Amino acid sequence: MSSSKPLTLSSSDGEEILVDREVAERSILIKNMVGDLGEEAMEEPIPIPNVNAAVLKKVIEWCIHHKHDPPSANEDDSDSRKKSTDIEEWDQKFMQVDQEMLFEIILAANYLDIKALLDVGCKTVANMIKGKSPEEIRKTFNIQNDFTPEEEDQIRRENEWAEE
Amino acid sequence: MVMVTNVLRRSTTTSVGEHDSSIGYTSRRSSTADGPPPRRSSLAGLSLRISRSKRSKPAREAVTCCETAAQQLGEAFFSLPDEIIVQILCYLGPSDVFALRLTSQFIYSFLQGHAAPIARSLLVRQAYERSPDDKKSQYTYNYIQTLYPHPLPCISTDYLLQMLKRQSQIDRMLSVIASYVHMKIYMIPSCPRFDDFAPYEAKLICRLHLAAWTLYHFLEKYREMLVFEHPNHPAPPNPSEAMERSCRSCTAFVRSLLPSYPGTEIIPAYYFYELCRQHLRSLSRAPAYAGSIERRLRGWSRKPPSDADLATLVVLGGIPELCKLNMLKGTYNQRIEVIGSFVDKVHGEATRTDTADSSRPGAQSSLGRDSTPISFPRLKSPLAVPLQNISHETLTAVPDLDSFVIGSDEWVTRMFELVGPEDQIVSAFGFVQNVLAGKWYQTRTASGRGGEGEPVGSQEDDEGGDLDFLAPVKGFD
Repeated sequence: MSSSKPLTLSSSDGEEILVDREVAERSILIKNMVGDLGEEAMEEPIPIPNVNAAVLKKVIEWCIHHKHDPPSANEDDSDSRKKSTDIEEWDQKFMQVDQEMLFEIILAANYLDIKALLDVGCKTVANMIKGKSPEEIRKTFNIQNDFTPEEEDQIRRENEWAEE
Repeated sequence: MVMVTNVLRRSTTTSVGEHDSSIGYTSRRSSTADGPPPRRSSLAGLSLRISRSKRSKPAREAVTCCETAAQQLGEAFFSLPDEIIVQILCYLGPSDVFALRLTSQFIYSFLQGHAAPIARSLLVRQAYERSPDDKKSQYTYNYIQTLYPHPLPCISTDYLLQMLKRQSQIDRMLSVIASYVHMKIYMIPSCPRFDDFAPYEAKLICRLHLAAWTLYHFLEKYREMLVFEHPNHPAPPNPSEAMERSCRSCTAFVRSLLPSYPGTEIIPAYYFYELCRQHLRSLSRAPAYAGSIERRLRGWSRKPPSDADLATLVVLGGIPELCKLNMLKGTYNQRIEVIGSFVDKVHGEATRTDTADSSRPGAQSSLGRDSTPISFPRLKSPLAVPLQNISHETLTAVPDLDSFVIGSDEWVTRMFELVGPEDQIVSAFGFVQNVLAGKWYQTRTASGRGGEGEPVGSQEDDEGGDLDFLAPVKGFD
């Protein structure tokens, strides 16, 4: 257990959640905040105005599971991670939530600056698109096909040219 | 009538105009199409559009009432900040990007507007798939970027599509050459060890990948020079030199182009070219057993392509044309038909250019085949043979097949500048042997399966890995 005291996070709907410092610092936003404001300021609950309690708890659950991951911050790393949309098993289960929650988690990860969680979220959404035909994508995301037949035909020909 | 279509067009533009990044597509196209109004086609388009809008209404209602889940998902997705959407799109493969382009105006223009990061991550991933390890994949990506730099600013997916096209042509060429080498080694597919070649083939393709890019780039640049610059080159001062068929300025161009490729790529590129040339020669030769009667029976009416024809194909067609030919696929007749029709096309265009010399190339292109919309030629043109600019002068300047690259002083001199004085460069198949023996690619050493290639020696180190084009061959007797 870490020697420092746990932090209190206050969600947008006013719930206060106690979190180990080590866990909370998976979020770069909170880490920097602690660094900037110093130990004493941490006595008070930290307001997280953009994230509600349900989502915040979910995010903390992820942080607890990943608290021992090596910190990854450098540029090259983000490239190597882009190579595949493979998601580790635990994360896959973790992301089996309703769609609303999924997008809330992505937004929260973006706001709290938790890069690895944001990546997992993005990969999950990317996997919803992967391997689908244009028509299937339109159905999945409720997109109207507003191309004229000529435009559609032209893009199709461009695609075929590049794929060939 | 033209007015009406304009209004219609404009209204479609504004309906998507709320998403500010969608400025480009429809408006650009309508303005270019407005120039000389293509009356017939726009009328046809109008009727199609009307029938379409009638159809789409009830369909939309049906969708909204029963698929609220999809609607929510769509809304949630598009309400994400742009940079997150881009990050999501960066995880997709080429086929997904192609599919997305076809979904809607908004997504199409979103892709156009954010093409740069998406292209980057896609190309990085492609480089990774074709390299044995992380370090090499970074190098692969960087090297291809020096050959074909990403345009800045990047406002369309053209670059991405062109790069994907090049990559697929290169992949095709590599697999053709690998199976040619395979054939050379085993001669008969029924040989029991024939299938054991697969890991070696992968190794060979991996090693020759950048060589193929280098050669692709070289041939493209050379063609560009030959077509656009060569007509302005000064003629050789005395007529006896003209007999040599080589133009001094062209030679100087090659000499200045070659140093832009690093030594570790130029020698493999040279051998890759040599393999391509050998392959081309053998596929364009009629089977030796066929006598004149069989010839007639088989309908081999076309003359076998001459050396000049082959040179024209290589120099003006480049990898995009070469990769269409595979010695092991199709019949001899089909293969020489491909070569012949390319050569005929080029000669035909040259005659046309010569007779209609006064009209500018730009004006010509709008004459003929303009059933295609404007942006398609723009996308294709950097890769296509600039047919309308080819003249007979270009054709006479095409070098001999044997003196191009392989026999050219420029390449050979450059190669020997790059190696040490006591180093000896092996032959093309010696290089292939070195690659197969694992001098470069050591992660999967030869397992000795079937006794083909001994396990790699111990003295290999990282720097030695790239110099597998040098003798002596290790582990091979």
